[in-house]
Amino acid sequence: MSNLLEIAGLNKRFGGLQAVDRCELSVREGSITGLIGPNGAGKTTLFSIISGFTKPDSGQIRFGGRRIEGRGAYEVARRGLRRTFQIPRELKEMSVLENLMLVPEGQFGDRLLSVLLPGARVRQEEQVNEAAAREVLETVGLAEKADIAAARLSGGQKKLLELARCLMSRPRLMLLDEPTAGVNPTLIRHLMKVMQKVHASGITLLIIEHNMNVIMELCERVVVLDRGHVIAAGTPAEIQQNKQVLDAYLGGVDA
Amino acid sequence: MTAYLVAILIFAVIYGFVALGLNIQWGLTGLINLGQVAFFAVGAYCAALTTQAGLPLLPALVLAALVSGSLGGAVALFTPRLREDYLAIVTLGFSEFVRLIFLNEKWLAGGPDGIAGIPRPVTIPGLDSETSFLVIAAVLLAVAFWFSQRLAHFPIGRTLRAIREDETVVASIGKPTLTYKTLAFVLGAALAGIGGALFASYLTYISPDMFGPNVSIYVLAAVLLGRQGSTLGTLAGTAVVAVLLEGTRLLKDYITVVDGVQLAALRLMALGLALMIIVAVRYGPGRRA
Amino acid sequence: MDELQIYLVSALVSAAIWTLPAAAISLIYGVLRYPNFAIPEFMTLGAYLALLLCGFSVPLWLSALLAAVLTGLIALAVDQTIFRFVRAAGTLPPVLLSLGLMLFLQNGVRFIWGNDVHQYPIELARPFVFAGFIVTPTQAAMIGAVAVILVFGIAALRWTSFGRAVRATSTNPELAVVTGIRPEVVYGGIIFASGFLAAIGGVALATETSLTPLLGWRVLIPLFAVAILGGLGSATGAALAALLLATVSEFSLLLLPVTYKTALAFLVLALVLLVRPTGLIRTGGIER
Repeated sequence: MSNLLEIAGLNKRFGGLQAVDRCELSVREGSITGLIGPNGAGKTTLFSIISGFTKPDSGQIRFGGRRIEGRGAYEVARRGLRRTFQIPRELKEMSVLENLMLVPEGQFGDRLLSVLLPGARVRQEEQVNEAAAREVLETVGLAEKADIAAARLSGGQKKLLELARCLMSRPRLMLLDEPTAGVNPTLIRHLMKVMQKVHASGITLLIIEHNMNVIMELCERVVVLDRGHVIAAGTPAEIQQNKQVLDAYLGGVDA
Repeated sequence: MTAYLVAILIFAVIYGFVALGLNIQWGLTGLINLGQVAFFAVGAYCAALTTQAGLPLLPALVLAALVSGSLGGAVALFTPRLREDYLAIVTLGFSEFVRLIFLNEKWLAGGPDGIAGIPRPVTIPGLDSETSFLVIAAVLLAVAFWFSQRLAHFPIGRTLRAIREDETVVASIGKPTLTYKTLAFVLGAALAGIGGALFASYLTYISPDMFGPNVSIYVLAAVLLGRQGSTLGTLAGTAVVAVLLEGTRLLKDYITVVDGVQLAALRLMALGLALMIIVAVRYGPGRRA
Repeated sequence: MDELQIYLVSALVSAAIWTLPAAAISLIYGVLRYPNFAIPEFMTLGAYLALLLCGFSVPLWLSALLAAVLTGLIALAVDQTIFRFVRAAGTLPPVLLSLGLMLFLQNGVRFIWGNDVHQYPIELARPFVFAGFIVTPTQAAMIGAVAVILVFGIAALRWTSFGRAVRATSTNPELAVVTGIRPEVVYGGIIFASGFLAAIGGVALATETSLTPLLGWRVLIPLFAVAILGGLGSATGAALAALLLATVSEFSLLLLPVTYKTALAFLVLALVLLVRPTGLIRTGGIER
């Protein structure tokens, strides 16, 4: 299968720190790829660059064969590459449902013109979007929370909402930043099922994850990042045997 | 007494436009603007100059909205990456900058003397000039209210509220935040421009000293009082501020211990104090951060 | 006497007037993290309090000093009764409070002293010539006093334990608390100092111009331009920026009408923020 995402020679420096260092990485279309590495390896920075929030110093990023590096965040998102945030960024004052109804692209009601015209078209559109949002909430298991303010969700539920918001747009590629961090074991099982469902529906996933069980069970391919550089890539089993990877993790503990 | 009431209501309606505009920018979208008076002033001068040249009031209002709105758009496009505190400084400074231009450019706006003899070209048969003006201005405000209310409750308003809460999230779901922020600034400035145009037409005389920072603070207090983001609240807040500012002029006949300047000063002291109390209560301990 | 020298003297006078209030804005920004729009009104208040004391035949220098202490205490009282309650609420609430305070103080001054123009009872003295520069004795005294206060302030920030506490709090408030610094003491000290500095600036401005209720408001834009240009949080930066902006705006008089001086300050401010939307130099931490 072809590569949906290809990164070549990517660099990013913050002051004295080389956060991303000649990074090479590819994600096959239809795969679940894991991205692991010790703390401070540059995983989140890499996500931030791919999704257009941070400009790289140099290098190329191809998504679906087209260059996207240096494009703005919203343009990258529009091409079907979406991310979640490590610390959930739910819109607190809105209901869970509204958090999702915000997402669909090209809403007529999102244009100024709609305010001046009769409301029928917007109402109809809203009904369609609401149905879609409720379906997504059903998928992730938040259907019962649809109408409460997002601020009142528990930490784990916020993680689910983060995932749901990403799923709502039916992207080609989802970048999930530690989807199970800080979540209890029961909910981790649930989140893994959701991710498998999402994957089965045809969405490619790239996941930053510290929980090795999650990686082992979900991912067909794992990429290891250390100090901004990819030091290994392969199947989970291969990575487990890789001495360089072990060193990187142990070195990380020492330092 | 009736004439006096009409005058208070006209001021309330005029400030209503300016406050509704600020509510779109700040209340809905979260863009603090301490220089709303700049767009108010530009609308006023625009209407003054064009109606003097013979343009009827309604086209003059449209023109004022367009010119003020464009200026608002320019401000938004120049300041997209500014944090809240810097935006506060820049907008406040900008409004003073605009006032200084009107003060200095005699060829454009009469300099410190301002512009006199601005026509007030509307009368409804059977009503005196003041009352007809009030009726027309109130009808226009009703339209502006309808527009603001729909804007707030339509999906576009949801997007603006989302920007207020977390701009990064809105960018991450593929929406052009700069476009929406600019739009909010344009709309808010255009409404202020309409308010300014009505102000000029009502008073038939304007000068730069009417456009100091106080006007921005009045509408800020109005939006704050009505809870940021609430259209109806904004209008209610404006009514309270207008009564506090203009209504207390009535007291002049009853209070003799202080002179006119002192009474005017007391009014503004009261408003400043009220603003502080609202903020302290709204954001104080135990309230939302 | 050259035109050049006249411009340079005016620039130095403007810079001396702006430095201390701009430093006050800068200090509050550095420690409490909000732009305080009421600082110019504390200038006005201080200037009028000094006028009040002059009325009791207290010499101007002593009136200024006492008025500055009083203004500092008033600023502290306002902070403790109102601003203190929104400490944890982010940037916007104190900004809004400072706007309300601006309206209150400006009109409080108007209520007590009216709209009339007042002057300090300064005897007109013959200007003296110093190395080709024509300076009045009042100007010389004012510039000297500002310089002394500035040096004292910078030294205090650098060498006293309070100064160290201020710098620590501004760089990393959490860490400062852990090391035993009480933030409220630091805040209180900074607010008092800001009121003090603003009042001295107000008296300085009033000796050059005259007292009106709009005394401070008129320099709000230049003060913020100076504070931002100097890198918010830096007293030395404020002084240097004041000199720079004052020189630029004096020489702009060759091209622009005098009333555009404030407009020019705004353009400088806007330009700085356009180039560096996060502020010049740095935003965290008080520098000396």
